[in-house]
Amino acid sequence: MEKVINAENISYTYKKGVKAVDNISFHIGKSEVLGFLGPNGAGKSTTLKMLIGFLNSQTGKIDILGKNMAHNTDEIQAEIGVCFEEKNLYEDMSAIENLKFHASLYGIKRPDVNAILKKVDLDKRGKDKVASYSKGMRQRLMVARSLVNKPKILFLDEPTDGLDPVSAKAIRKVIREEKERGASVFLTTHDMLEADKLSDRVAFIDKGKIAAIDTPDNLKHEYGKRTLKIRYQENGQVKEEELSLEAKDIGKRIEEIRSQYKLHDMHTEEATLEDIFIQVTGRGLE
Amino acid sequence: MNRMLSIVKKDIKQMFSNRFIAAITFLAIFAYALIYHLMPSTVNETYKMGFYAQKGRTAIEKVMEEESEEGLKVEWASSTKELKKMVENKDVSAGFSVTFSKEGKPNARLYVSSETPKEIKEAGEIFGREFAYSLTGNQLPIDVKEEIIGTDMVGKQVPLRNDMRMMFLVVVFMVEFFALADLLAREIEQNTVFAILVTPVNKFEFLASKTITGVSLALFESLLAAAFLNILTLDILLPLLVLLAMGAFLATSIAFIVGALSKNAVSVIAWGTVFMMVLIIPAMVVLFPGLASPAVKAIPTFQLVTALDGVINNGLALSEFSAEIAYLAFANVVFFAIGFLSFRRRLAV
Repeated sequence: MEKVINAENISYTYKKGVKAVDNISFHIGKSEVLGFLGPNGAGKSTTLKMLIGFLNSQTGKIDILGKNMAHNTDEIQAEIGVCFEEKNLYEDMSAIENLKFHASLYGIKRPDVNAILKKVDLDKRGKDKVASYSKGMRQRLMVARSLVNKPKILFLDEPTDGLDPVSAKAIRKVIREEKERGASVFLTTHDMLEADKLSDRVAFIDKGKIAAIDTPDNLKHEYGKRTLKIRYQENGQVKEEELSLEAKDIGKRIEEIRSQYKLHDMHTEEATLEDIFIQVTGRGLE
Repeated sequence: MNRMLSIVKKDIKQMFSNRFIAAITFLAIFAYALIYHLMPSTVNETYKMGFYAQKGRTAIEKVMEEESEEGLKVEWASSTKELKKMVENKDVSAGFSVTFSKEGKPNARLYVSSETPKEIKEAGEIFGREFAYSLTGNQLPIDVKEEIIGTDMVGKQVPLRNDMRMMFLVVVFMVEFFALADLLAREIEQNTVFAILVTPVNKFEFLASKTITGVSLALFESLLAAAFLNILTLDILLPLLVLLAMGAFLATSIAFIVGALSKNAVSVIAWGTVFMMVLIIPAMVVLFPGLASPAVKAIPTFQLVTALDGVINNGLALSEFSAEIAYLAFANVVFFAIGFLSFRRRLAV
């Protein structure tokens, strides 16, 4: 698989001695969505800043699109799109003006701003000043702005954090469309469910180190315990029993319940990414 | 270069979409022009002298008619006391009395107020001697009641409104540095700078584009003000452009310093006011020469105002102010380096 991002042994320690990223390595393939998951202060933002050229890794190297980030920052920045967590739009300008200005920084003279705004359902409000936008609309505009140069890699920092369901859905749709277009996506998020739905692979980062990195299915398979939950009626009361799918006598027990009691329902249950994160790192995301 | 021009275009649009900045920029220029055109364009050079003669008033009046002194007007007092009052009330520039002792010995006396400039006192002495001679036929010892060493206020052909133009131009630069400092501080406060720096635009290009915005706007506005203030003439166009460009560069440098020190619009006003209060003092020197202390002369706007005054009001060549220009250029480099580097630090992630 073609690696569009290849980070090898990268680290960053701030001046106050805080080691934010500690010798991590990972890669992202073409058209791949990598979910970067971790609690606050885990090192997600510092990693992102190194990948977009705002900070220089103090060890190792970062290659983006086959070029070394430290020596080709401007060239690489022309090929990527970034949506920051903090809102940073020109509020006294309209959405169209914001997009046109941003496009001009890439040397794009006539960007199709209406098509871009349509992607995030803002085409009807394009002429309005950003100051009049809701939080969700601003976030959608930030995502739209990151698309003006048709980036080969999209960096999204908590894009759906605290958004209404409509805005969050619009952003998820954009991520899927960008993946289909052939773009790779580096997605940092708190939302495990979102990461599970959108990511081809997820990386768990904690205390500056990657604790685990794999596809959601593989992680669930490796770390999660898969169970079968059976509910049945005994003396008019509903009772519940949880059986491990790996247990050797599972078939015998199911048969016992079925023959002795009235079966209410039964279904398999697999671990969530959040369960696995807790299992791997020993702590939750908050 | 195109990327930088995009930022400049955006900045100018953004600056003037801020109604407060737009209002104070252009309304102020129009206000200066209005004040300038409402003020008198000529200087009243008529010299008014009070006179009291215990006797022989007719002889003096006769001399006046014969000589018909141009620019001299005599106001007669009926007593020494009245003459002193006229001087005190500034009804006349100086008072001259000729009295006689019991023995008939003439006694001439010149009265000037504490604010009377030296030249008026000297002129009063000359006129007084002439009249006293015609009255008594003798050279009389003139007893100067009070001598004040003051600044040149008489015989000066430059009207006050022309002097005020230097102050107006400096104020235009002050307004401009407020506007640019506000824009710089907002880029940091609203994190928009990072949206720019994640594109192929690097820190140097970002700062260079802000410099272009600041210098070009300040220069344009000062030229607009100069046009309204009747300064923009072909014969001084080149020296004027040089001096205004230096002023625009100084304003931009100060804007970088204020922008680096400020976190939001309120702190821009606070820090900007501190700088403005210092930089505006030299602009007052043309109006009040007594302000020109060594400390005031060290403020770079003093060199700017001195050179502008010389070129605009006195028609002197730019080469006459090579020391001032060298000082101003040095100050520009120092302030720009401080401003550029300190604002660059604010761009650290």
